[in-house]
Amino acid sequence: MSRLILRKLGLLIVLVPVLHLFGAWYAYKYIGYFNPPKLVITTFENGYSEDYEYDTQPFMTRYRETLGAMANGDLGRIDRDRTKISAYMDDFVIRSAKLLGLAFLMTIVLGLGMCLLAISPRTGRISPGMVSVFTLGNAIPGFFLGSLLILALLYVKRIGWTNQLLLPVQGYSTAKHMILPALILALRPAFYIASIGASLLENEFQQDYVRFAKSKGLRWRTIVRRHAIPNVAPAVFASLGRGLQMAVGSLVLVEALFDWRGIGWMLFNTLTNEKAITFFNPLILGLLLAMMGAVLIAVDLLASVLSLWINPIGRHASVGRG
Amino acid sequence: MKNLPLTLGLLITGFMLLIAIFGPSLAPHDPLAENRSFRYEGKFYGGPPRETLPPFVHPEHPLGFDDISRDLLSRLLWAVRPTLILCVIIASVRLVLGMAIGGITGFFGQRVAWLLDTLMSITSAIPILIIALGYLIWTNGTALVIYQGTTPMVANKAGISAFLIALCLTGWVNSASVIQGHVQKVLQAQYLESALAIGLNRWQIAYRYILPQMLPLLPMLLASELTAVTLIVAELGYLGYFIGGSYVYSDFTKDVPLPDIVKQKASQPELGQMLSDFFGQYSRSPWVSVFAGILMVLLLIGFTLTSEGLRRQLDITRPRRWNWRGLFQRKPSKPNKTKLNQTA
Repeated sequence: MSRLILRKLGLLIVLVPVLHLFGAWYAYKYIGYFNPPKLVITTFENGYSEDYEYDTQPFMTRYRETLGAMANGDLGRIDRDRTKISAYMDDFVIRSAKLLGLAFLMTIVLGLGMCLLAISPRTGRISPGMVSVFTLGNAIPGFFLGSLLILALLYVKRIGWTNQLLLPVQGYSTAKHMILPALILALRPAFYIASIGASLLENEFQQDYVRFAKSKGLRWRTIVRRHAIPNVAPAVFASLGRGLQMAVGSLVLVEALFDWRGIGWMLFNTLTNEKAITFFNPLILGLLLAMMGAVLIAVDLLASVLSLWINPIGRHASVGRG
Repeated sequence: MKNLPLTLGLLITGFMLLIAIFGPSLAPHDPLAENRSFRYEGKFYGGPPRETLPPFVHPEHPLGFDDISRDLLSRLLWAVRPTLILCVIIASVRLVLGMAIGGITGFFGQRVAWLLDTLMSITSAIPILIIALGYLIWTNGTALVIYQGTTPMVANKAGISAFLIALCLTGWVNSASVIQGHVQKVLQAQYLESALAIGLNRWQIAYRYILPQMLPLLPMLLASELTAVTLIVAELGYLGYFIGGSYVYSDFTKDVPLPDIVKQKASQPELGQMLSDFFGQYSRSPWVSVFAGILMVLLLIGFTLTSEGLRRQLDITRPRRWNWRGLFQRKPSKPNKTKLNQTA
């Protein structure tokens, strides 16, 4: 189990630089140059001439320069208006971190709560209503739910039930703007975790020791807390990693839908919007991909560390080996 | 019902299949015809300068018009077929790739198993949506209208092959790992030792023992692949990447030489395309995204339920009463008592 974690750590160390390289190379290949052409004005005795100086250096030369600058703490500048990339991106990173933090919290609370609520105490199996809820939740795409919510809020305002919009549907300025995107980010992973956890719990409640505990006269709540949850928790935490990865994966779509200006929005604009100042900027695309990959692996790593920490068998095994 | 998810899933999928097969012939109107000036009960409806016909108003256009005044019901009926064909092709290619690679890595045992594990972790580090988006932009350019002077050039020309490659680049890993795990489990069995002992070589063992045990997994894997593919196709469509070309809709509201309303609209109807441009049309015709989304969600629910139901069928720990393989099994022939008695 600890080998798994070591492997993931190794992956984090190897894959993030590779993603950075790939992103920069992709942008370079698409747009054709590393630094955009510079306008050079040469003055003569009787006038001047405007000329473009193209960046003819090969990719690796420029990339090595970039790496050297990054080692000195300089991320470079965006060429259109010479803003520092570090100064431009930090707001976006903070916004995304806030959104993801709330979404992770919602995922965990909603997912684990639904997983506990799904089991019916009478039969010890998943109640049929919750099965259909899980199926629906796993099947409906987040963006469709989001657009339905936006339409519903606008419609309620339009027919006059509310004086103003109940929740702001687009934007990034206040904390209220965060509720809808975080909810949409969290729903599908929550359903995923809940369905996996519920099926594990259901499996656990068919075991003989649960029947024995029941016949001993323990309360349902005690059986769940003392017997079922400790047995199921490691597996549920392992699936939490995949669920949180799903949340990060849909970041691009949700931020584009709700106009939440985080790194997902920036990535989408970098790839598609020609008027964005970051459009196919090799430095920015590399950084964004590396950040995205780092978050995705780190989330998975965190979940496996948690599941190892919770699992008594894994803990003893790793202690013995270490 | 013994297996409610499977029954419901097959019903919904069958319904969508019926729409895909018979929908175009049932469509009441031409899905491409624009009703630029359409008069009903004293009001003018039509393209962008005018209002759009809302749903449930006109008896001949029950779902109304889309935002450039084409009949929505006909477009929806036409739209299911290309989406379904696209998803089925991509899902089967992903499944075949996963089968081949997972089978081979499973067959060679633990020495190459780490390769697939590492690949799995690597692909989980890059969301497939970003990979697909990157590939589609790489080959076909951005989906936005590009202006050359005053002439809008249409940029979106992604075909089915671009989608196929974009979604199969890393999509096969999931089913490959499932197949690999299953092959490894089968390889532990003792009858394989006896198969080796009677002199079968590796390929014969693979063909006679392992492959037949993979076949029951296929429907479930296909259904779950279909769910994943449909979801990504829907998301790509929402972001503006869909199959089928688009054309430029233009109209004049003032007496000027150049048109002042220019929109890039898809010509051939497709579900992913109808989900796109949500903010472009939600003030004029929000129902387009809603109806297209409902069809997409029906498709997704059908696939999800089918895969869940098939998974339950294969799950031997659940109490089972009915088996789909039982439909095709020949009943054991009854011993013919009279004959036995005669010989006795």
